[in-house]
Amino acid sequence: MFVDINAYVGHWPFRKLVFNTLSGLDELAREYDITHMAVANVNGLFYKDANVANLELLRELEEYNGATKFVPFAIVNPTYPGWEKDAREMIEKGFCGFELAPRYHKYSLSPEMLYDMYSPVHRAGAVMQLAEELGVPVRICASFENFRQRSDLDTPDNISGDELFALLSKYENVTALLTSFSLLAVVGKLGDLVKARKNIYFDTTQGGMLDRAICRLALSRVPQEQICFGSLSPFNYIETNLLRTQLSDLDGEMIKKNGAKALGII
Amino acid sequence: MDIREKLEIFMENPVVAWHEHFWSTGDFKTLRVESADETMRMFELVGVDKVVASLPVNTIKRCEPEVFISANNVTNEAVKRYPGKVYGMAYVHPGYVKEAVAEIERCVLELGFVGIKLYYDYFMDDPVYAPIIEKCIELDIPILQHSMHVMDEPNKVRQPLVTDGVHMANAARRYPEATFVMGHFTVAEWEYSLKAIEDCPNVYTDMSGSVYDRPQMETAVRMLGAERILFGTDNSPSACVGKLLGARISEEDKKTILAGRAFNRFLERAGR
Repeated sequence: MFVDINAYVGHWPFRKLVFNTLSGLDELAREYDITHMAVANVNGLFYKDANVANLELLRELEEYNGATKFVPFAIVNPTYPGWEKDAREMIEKGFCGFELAPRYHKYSLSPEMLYDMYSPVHRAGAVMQLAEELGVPVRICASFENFRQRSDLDTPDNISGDELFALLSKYENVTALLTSFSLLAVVGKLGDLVKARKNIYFDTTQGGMLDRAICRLALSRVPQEQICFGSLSPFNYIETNLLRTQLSDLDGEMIKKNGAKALGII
Repeated sequence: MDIREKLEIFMENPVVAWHEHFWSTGDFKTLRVESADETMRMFELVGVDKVVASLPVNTIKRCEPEVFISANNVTNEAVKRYPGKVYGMAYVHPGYVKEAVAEIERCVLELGFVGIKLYYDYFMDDPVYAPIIEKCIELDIPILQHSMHVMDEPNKVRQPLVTDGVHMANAARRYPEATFVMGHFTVAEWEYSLKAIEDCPNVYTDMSGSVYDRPQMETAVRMLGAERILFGTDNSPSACVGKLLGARISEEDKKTILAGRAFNRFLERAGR
């Protein structure tokens, strides 16, 4: 089993993506014997009603007949009416987890921060509660493009370590997939929480793991059992993460399989 | 397929990395040997044969001549530590025109450096560069310019004079006999940068940098041709080796980029 926990279908408004369908991802995955990909529809970041994107992905899944097994995540916008009903329905229809996009849907992971100060409920917290009730993981992607290249119409901020800490420390029973986060910068702010919690996972998309010193530092902060293969396909070239997994001092075979545990598919 | 099988193209063909750095102590006086050895170990791991390196001085304050001279001596330490593998590029601050021109001559004629590396001290099309460019034309050496079209505010503040593709194109049209390299096209707004230099045959680019967006390489080859693209990593080997391996371009184009065929003459001359 070889699991990629960080993949998307859909369109990015600021540049043309290729391989951005399930068939396209399947083509990329099959070349390297990747058996499973956790996938969400990135259109859900931009549609006013994110669930329309989940339904698009559902239709694409119904028509798909490739070899790679896709593990679908529903993008949930807790600021939009009816989100809870939609989220429950997507799990009933076979989706395996929720994805939060706080920078695009304009709320914060922490109840203390500006966006949520005047909200009667902690919106990210409400999604976490639902995930806990349904026993599904929650995925949060730090960023889709490097901050130096983002369009003026895109969000300028990445999700901070402080915000993550505020959320994760409160909902300890929810499995969290934190994708495209820097294993050095952001994880450092989470402190001992990562080591204390076996259900917080990261991926390989950020970090120069071929450098032994960087690899050592990352592993001092994140146990290897909690690092999964992730490619951020189709935004990125998948080969970079294969090199990080197989040529660095990481245990490549373990990294390839860790995603199965994170996604609850073993 | 195992990614190591794909890596054979690096192992079986000449590979020159044209945009590299070996770091110094904070005073730009001494090579950090342990870090340099680790960098060379990584290059060996991924099959890089030759490394072209410089030590630009990362400061928004003016870089005094004694500092850039010292930085170039550090690069020369690396050249001597890894003979036949590492080649030098001279960094100069063009505001000190007389000293900068003299330093380029020293580095090329005495130390055997193969080109110059410019930082974000001025835009590439600023007239201050005229004597520098003319000296490079005279010595027939390439000008590698740190470049990116930055979109984020912190970098706009930190690097207010960072060159982008438009500045490169302006300079190239003014000096068609010069050889320019727009550094790390893959970083920041890369489609903008490529489009700006598309019609300037004397502007080459390198594919170094930590950003590995698909389909950067396919786009660059389509717009510029493989002959105008140089391999490099800027200390991000996994990102750069990965984007070349993953690119849906021909094997011949990959080999052209890896070998840096258009730039072979600069290395051959240094080896004599």
